[in-house]
Amino acid sequence: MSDQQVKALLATAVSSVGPDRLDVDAMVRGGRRRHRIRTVSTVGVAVGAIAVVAGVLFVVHPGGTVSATSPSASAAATSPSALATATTGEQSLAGWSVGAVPHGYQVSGRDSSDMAAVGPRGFHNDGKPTARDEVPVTVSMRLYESADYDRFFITVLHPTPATAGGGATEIAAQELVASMVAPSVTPVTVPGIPAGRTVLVRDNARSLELIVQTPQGDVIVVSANGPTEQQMVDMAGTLRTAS
Amino acid sequence: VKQSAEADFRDWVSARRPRLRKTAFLLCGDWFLADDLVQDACTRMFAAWDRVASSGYPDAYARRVMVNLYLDHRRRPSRREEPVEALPDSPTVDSDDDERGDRVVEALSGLAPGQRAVLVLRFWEDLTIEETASVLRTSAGNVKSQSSRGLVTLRAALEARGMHSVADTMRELS
Repeated sequence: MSDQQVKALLATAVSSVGPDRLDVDAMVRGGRRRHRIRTVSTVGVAVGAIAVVAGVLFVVHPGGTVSATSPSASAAATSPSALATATTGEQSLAGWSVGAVPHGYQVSGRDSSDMAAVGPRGFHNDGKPTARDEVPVTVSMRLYESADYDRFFITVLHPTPATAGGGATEIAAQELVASMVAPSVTPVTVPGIPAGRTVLVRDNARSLELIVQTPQGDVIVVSANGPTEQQMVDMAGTLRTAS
Repeated sequence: VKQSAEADFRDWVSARRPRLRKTAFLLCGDWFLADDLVQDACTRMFAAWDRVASSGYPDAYARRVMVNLYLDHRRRPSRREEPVEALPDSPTVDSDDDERGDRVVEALSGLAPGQRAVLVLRFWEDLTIEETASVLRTSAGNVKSQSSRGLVTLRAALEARGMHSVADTMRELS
């Protein structure tokens, strides 16, 4: 089969086109609004960079452990220089302070927070009650975006105390992440992650997942595409080197 | 964004609209979501239209933004599709072509998001391996392997849906 035949096969999938719901006026309005917000944010970041750096994403301690910094606490920035930039004034994400992001990236949209459950049948957030062998988790996400449309997520998975009839109160990082990274497709092999350690895995799509199992029981996943990948590698390397 | 740029943007959307929608649909398999992807992508592009237009490659920008939006959509747990054993009753099928198209969409849904993006960019958008790698910000080798695996998975999915003749001819590619 030639490339053209595969193309013809794909064409059959779009032989019947759904109703067109595009609204070009809304694109223009939204684009103008987005342009204004970007301009204001850029000015804000420039001003913030002059002020005190409020915190860093992860403070590296001897032994390779990582811990959260309070959003209000001042801390010395120990992040790699490639990542260091001030993001003063950002809200914490599920209690974690985000103080260093790659240059040129800004928060996009609002943080999201959902309840989900993780167990032997994987990850689900379909509103069904948590089963006895599942752990309820709060999933908090923040999206950063660059001017070139490269993006990365920070996701905090926070196991919540067991509900009545619930199961364990702790859950291993690999179980959470393996179920989250690639549901319904090829499973990702994620090594066991001791508390306080960081691992870097590549999923079967194209992106990297920087996974941090925190001593507090939270699992932090930094997912990215584009040139941010190398910065994440640098970051993980720094965390590992510290151990 | 200046008025002249807005007119330029509107012209570009008008010309590319059908193609963008089809590409988005092949990525996600849902016309409502496809329109959301295109709407969101175009909104982001208009916010930076001066820069996008001056690059001379607005189509390439559109592909990258849509693919990023699609992959991010798949990543968000709150929006993730759940696989089901049996599909609900679909609307009335008008022709054999429609039924065949539905089965191809179902088969595509079994692909990993990255593999699906590679196949759509390579075979639908006619991008070279290097161009596909550029859109996905990955290596040419990764595109080759994802393309090969994606075709194998797609072939198996087509066979499972009774499209044996198509699957047989796909063996040569994968």
